[in-house]
Amino acid sequence: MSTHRLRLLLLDDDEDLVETVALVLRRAPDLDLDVVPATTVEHALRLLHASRFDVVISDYRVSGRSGLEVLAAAARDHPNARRLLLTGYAPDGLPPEARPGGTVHAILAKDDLLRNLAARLRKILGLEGSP
Amino acid sequence: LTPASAASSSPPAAPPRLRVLLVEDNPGDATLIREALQDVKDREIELLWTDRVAGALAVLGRGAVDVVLLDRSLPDAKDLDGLTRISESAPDTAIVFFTAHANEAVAMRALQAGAQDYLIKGTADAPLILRSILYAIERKRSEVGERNRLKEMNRFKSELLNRVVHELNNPLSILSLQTHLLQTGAYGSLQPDQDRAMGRIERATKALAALVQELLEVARIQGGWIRLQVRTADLCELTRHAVDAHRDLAIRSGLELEENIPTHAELRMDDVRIEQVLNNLLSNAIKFSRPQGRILVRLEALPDQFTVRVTDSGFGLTPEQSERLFRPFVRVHENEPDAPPGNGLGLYICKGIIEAHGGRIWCESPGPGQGATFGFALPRSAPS
Repeated sequence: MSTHRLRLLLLDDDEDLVETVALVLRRAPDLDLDVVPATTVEHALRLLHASRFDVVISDYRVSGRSGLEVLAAAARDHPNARRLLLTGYAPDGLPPEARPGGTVHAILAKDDLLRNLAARLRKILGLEGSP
Repeated sequence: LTPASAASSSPPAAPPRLRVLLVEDNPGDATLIREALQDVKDREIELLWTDRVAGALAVLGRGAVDVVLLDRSLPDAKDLDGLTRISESAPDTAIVFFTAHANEAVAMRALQAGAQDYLIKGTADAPLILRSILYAIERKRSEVGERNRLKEMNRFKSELLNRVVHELNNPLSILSLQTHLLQTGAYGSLQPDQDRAMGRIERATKALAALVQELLEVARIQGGWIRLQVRTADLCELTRHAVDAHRDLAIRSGLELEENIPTHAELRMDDVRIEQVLNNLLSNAIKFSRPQGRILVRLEALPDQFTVRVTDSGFGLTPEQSERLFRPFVRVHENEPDAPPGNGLGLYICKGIIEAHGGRIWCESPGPGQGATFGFALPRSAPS
């Protein structure tokens, strides 16, 4: 079992949303996460280049750019990182490359954040059932 | 000289050549029309001729035709059948319909079925045919323009709704997450009155989030981009689950809730959305019942479809109300003193979901005050 804290990169162009979700994640009782927020694609790419991440969560649309760009960079630089797309769109409204399979491991719906975020992360990180 | 003034000083361009498709199986009649069109002096006309609707459809499929001159009686089409087939497969092409005798009733039916003008055989000379052709083309042009304008307006409306709803997602997420953080002590413990206030904010946020989800579903239905997540599921289980979920509320409202559901009804469907329909019909039945009322949920397996009916003994409906009920934002009981609140979107969404499955939804009522039955039917064959 790894001993380091899991590092999570969180990207959304809405700073209030990023800080709010970061706080929710930091407070999740059984998720010992080091949450690093970013609000621009450039900043997220620099962070990915500079250090290791275990989880990358990105909004689909980030100030006119695609969050898929960041998830693709994560797939290249940190192939073991779990990559999640955060979106206000239903999965059926997304283009094929945004659907779970290749670059994207799973989709998080924004209207589902409160109910599902911690539970989804637990499942995705394989922490389900651990005390 | 500038190019613009050079252009304006040159003689006006001749009007473009007209491509006319004549669909006529009587060679004599065809010759008469061909000769009449040869007499047209001020327009160049290219005449194509076929003696069957099938031939006309083949020509129309190959390229632009300005107008179809269509005979009423053909070997492969009788009466208005040919007209219907041609105007369906070439909706942007003008049609002039030929009748054998001065029969106003047939002519009117032809105009309603998609022809832009009509002519009576044997009475039409060159100027009359040309006038009719030009009139039909112009009328078709304005019909197509109006059709496209409506389509564009509809598309814009759906897109606007979709955008607005998506823009609401971020602030709503922040509201609900921050409320949760405050309530769970992330910023220190709350005084009892602060806690009550947070409860009110939480309920209002949930109501707003539910409304946004409903509006998003309306946008999907109106824009025609509702996509079902289809899998095999048991409609009986789904229906029993929905009934059980409403039992407490029914009891608290002083209502009897009964069911008549067989053991098994497997079919391919978007079970999440069908459950949404069941929940909507059940919560409506409870909302629109008066104490001591009774609600019965029945599921029936027919050879080609399954039907679910929810019968209540509540408000009831006039035929006019039943007819309007499935339109968006319609609340037929809103002027009645004890009508429960609602936004008039639930049944519209139910209709969209059921129709996306290739099914149908309906309501029946013996009259006001005598209860109503809401039913839907889902085909056993999988929706595409």
